[in-house]
Amino acid sequence: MTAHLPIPDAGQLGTGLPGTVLWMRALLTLAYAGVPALLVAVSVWRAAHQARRDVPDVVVSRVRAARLTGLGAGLILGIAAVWSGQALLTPAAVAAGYLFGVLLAELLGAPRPSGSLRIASLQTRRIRSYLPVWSMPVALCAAVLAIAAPVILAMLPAVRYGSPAAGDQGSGLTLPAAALHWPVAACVPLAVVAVLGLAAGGLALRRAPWLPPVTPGQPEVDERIRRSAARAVAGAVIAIELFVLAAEAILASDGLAVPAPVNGHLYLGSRIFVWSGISLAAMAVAVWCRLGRWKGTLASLPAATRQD
Amino acid sequence: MSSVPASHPGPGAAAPLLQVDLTSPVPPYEQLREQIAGLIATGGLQAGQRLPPVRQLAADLGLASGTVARSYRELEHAGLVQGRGRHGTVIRTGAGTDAEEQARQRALSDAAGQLAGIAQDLGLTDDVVMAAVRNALAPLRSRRPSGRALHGEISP
Repeated sequence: MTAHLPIPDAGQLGTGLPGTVLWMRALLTLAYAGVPALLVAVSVWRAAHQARRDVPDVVVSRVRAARLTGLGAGLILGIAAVWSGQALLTPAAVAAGYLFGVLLAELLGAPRPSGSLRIASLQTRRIRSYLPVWSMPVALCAAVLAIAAPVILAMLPAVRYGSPAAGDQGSGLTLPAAALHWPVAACVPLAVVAVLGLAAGGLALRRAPWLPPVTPGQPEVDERIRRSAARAVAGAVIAIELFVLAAEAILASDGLAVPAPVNGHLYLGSRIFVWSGISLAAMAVAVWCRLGRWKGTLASLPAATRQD
Repeated sequence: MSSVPASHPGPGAAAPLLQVDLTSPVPPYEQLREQIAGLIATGGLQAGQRLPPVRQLAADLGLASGTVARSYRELEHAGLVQGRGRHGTVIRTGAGTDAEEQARQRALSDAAGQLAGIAQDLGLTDDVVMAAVRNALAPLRSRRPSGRALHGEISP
């Protein structure tokens, strides 16, 4: 079969290598930044469409613009990460852009009450009442693991393996002895991103219950707007932490990446790390999209929570 | 200026509303202080109940945080609320529970109700009524330098 494959000449190789690198980076950009950004953008668009039934158009448009602008900024940041050789930071960078979009435009940039007569409730609003119960523990657990990953990896013993005896694996392949290293240094920037994401998310979550009322006489709509903002922030934070954890898992697979014929168990461990990373990334996108939705509609809310 | 009990949309129970009129000659912080003190006096706010964080109330009313913080400070000086740092500001135990104080409050509420009824019959606006009350209080205040108000020594 190989005899029929065209063999490129030296000139073709010279121009083909940069082209291949270009294509690889383009593919990485598409996979790490384009796919999550596209999925989240579609979910934001759909959520805005559904929210128009109950929430004033001006608010829905502002929220949608804030999230899509943040997503765009995150996409640019992600592309920059790919082209600067930090491809595994890309999905977290996209989520970070989205988080800052929500924080700056949706929370800090919300219009203040106007008019000479101002009315406010003495109800103490708590962030917990706006979020699903699982969201905070998931975000915190993922963040702790993501931040602690470099320390954990630094404490693990390095895997060394020797050359298998000839004929042990039934193949004529001879493997040199080698020592693997856990990617501690490569995980540090990821851990820093996890810390920053958690800090920015905490700041944004504190602001969500303080969103001023925008629909006089319809306090349930204001509550819905606050809930939507809080869920969007929580979704972005969980996405950042899970993306970081996914990247660290994929990196950590290098620490066990012995050739399969040398140690099948370690090789399997390495593959498990890789697939865990891919699963975590998929989970991050799913949670991010889900929490970006406007929770239910006013008509679908239970009567006990509507308090008409 | 007056507090308007109303249901709240939030997940909790009904909460009273505060109203601030920026065109009123009374400063916003004083309007807030008066309304919260009134709610405590009439049982609208119970001992141990938490007031909203300063920044939440300031954001809802579109006021500076310092304005709301000043109201809370005045209420704290008057012994009506207690600041508990990160745990927020809560209504003090004993605020508005004294029997004599409650009797005074009931008498005051009754009188205010009668005044409101008369104002309604005469077709007077809230501002006119409030101005009349302030005019009536002004000479009394000059004769009573301690400025004793509801629930203790609240300086005007």
